[in-house]
Amino acid sequence: MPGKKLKRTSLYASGASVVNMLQAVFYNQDCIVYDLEDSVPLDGKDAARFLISNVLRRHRPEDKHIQIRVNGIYSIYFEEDLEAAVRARPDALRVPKVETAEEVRTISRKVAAIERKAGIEEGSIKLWCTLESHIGVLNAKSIAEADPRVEALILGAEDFTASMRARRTKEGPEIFYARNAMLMACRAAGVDAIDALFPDVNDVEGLKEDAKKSKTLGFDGKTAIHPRQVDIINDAFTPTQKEINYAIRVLDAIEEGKRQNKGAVSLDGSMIDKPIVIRAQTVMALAKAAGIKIGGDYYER
Amino acid sequence: MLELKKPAVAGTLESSDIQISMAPNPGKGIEIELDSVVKMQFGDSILATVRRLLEEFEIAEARISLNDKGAIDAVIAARMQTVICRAAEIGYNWAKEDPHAR
Amino acid sequence: MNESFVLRDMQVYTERGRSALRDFLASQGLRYENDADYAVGVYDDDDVLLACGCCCGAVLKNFAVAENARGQNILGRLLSHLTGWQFQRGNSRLLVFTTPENKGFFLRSGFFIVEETAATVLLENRQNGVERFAEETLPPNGADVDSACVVMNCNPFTLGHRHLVEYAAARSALLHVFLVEEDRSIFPFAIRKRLLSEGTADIPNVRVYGGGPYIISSATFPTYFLKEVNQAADVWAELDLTLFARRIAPLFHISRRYVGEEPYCILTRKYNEAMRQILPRYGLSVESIPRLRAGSKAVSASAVREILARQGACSSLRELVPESTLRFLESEEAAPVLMKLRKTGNGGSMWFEKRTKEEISCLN
Repeated sequence: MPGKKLKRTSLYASGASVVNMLQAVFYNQDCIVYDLEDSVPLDGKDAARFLISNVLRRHRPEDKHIQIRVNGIYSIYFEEDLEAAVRARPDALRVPKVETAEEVRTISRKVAAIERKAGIEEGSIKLWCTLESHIGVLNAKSIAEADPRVEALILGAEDFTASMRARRTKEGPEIFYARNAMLMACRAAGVDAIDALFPDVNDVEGLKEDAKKSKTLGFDGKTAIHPRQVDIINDAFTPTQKEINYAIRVLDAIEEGKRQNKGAVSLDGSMIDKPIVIRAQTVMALAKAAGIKIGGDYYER
Repeated sequence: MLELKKPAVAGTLESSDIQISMAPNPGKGIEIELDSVVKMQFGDSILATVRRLLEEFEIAEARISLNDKGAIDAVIAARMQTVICRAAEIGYNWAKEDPHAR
Repeated sequence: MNESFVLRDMQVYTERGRSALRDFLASQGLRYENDADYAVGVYDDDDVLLACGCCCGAVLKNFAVAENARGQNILGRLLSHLTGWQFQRGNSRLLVFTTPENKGFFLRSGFFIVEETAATVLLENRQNGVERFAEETLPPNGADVDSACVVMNCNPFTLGHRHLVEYAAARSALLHVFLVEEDRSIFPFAIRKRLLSEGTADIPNVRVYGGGPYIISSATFPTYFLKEVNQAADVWAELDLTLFARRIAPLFHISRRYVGEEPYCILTRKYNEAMRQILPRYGLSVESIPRLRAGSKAVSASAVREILARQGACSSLRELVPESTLRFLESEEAAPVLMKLRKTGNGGSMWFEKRTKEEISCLN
């Protein structure tokens, strides 16, 4: 399935730092998130908008999923962030602190208005919503289903933990429910689920465990806070041999179905519907990204 | 003509960036001072970008001081836009390059 | 996000913040001056302080980077941040005082040397600042007439100051009077300038100017980088006088400088001695004249402040200050200044904490 961008790892590039932004392309993260929010001080928001705008216009990384994190919907920077960010044509806008479906619809309307004015295909800019509070997590399903633009939900564990008055730990029991709740909502709505960051940059073993956990729970990706974490997380999202084998079988069944002009295809007594096909294609993409060699043309299907 | 209201600065002294300070310069036109780590090779191209932005914003009088640490054109343009808006105390019209923009 | 360092406001308005700054500077062999408006610290992942820099008015100072953190351009980040902060506050003309060994970094960072001596160097963030200052300050005609000058603080303007100005003006075609520009003195600069102008308005060949950053106030001269605090007076005097003689005097066509003799203040006496040594090297002459006396005492601004502190604006001031100054002192406008004087005695701004007792006893 050529062209589908993977979402295993997201790494921020601060709009306050030229070096940060230019170096971002050299790592192996799947998504670059150009940041206008937390990594940019209040007196530098204007400068960051111009920097991101100009850099994306002239030096857009080709093989990465491009996102821009805007400031919160209730902040004084939000409106102008949208004006600048939408016109920079990212693949998606990352919105912090989303709590209700109504907020999502409002944002989508505003984005649409700018898309129209700027001559951008309406609906082409997606939304990745970060849930950073207990309210957000409780509303996860309605947020995920609020608008066709919503492509992924992200768990912002640091602020979520604060809103729960819990303490953030490496083992993560304080976000246990939030992770699962968000995942279930994403599966129900058919959007991607991105797990929280692992805060200790120096703890490699801890990160490996946490990333494995993310994958096992069913997440599609994870946020990295440092380039050093990227390869480790990418590794964790490498499909197992079992998953690859199953994906091969699914794709073969689909091929056969096409050859025989069958409308519906089944395998081992179960129907293969669209989500299963998409999943198989994703597994292939992940395997390919991980450099796993598979004979045949599975990587093209 | 866009008039500058106060001195302003944008950018940093970090590698690959450029620090630009601008101030009103009543009656003296445009005066530019450039200090760059690559002045020999790229001085002209840096100045060209600066002048292009000044023209775009229709600025006829300004004192500009540039301290360049190897910034690419996109960065110079971004810093110019920032410092001009700060010095002139104006907002930026993001819609100005939209098709059918008035 | 991907950076290991973070910049944080050190909150010098708290005792905690000032302590942290003091301790860090001490660990770097630098002295702490208690007058920073704002200090920023660079911290690593474990919240350990690696570097700091401060603002005090338009002066950037107290730069220090820990040994293990060097070579990463942390100083550049500090400077960028402080510059941005200053511009936002409306200070676009920034000054740095440092040792000659450290000037290289500032020269690469958009700063230009104003003056340099063996012990210290003054830099600012604009080229040809002194020339521009002269251009903007000098009267449009008659500028190349052979002139003299007087430099004063006038805290407040007294008959003693008047005496010096009269004397000098009578012996010169044109007299430039430079007023030390800072707001540490108990009378704010704007008021000092006004009283000086009013008190000399009748003398036609007198021009009054604020000295800008180029007449260096002993009150604001930073000493954090000096090994011995008692060097401060000498280092300051040498820098200020060299800057005056080498750059300001030629631009203003000054060939003579007049000073009042200093019977009380050690700092001023040292300064005047240095003046008599340095100025002739640049072809300038120095003439010092005896103080005006009222009865048995020399008329001095510090005597005026004593009286104001103890008794407020009263008739005994008549023999010390001109009408124009007395009128001000008796007016509503002077009330806040007089109250400050009453509260703190003769003097009382923050900078006193870092000066010796002798230095404190005068501010002419």
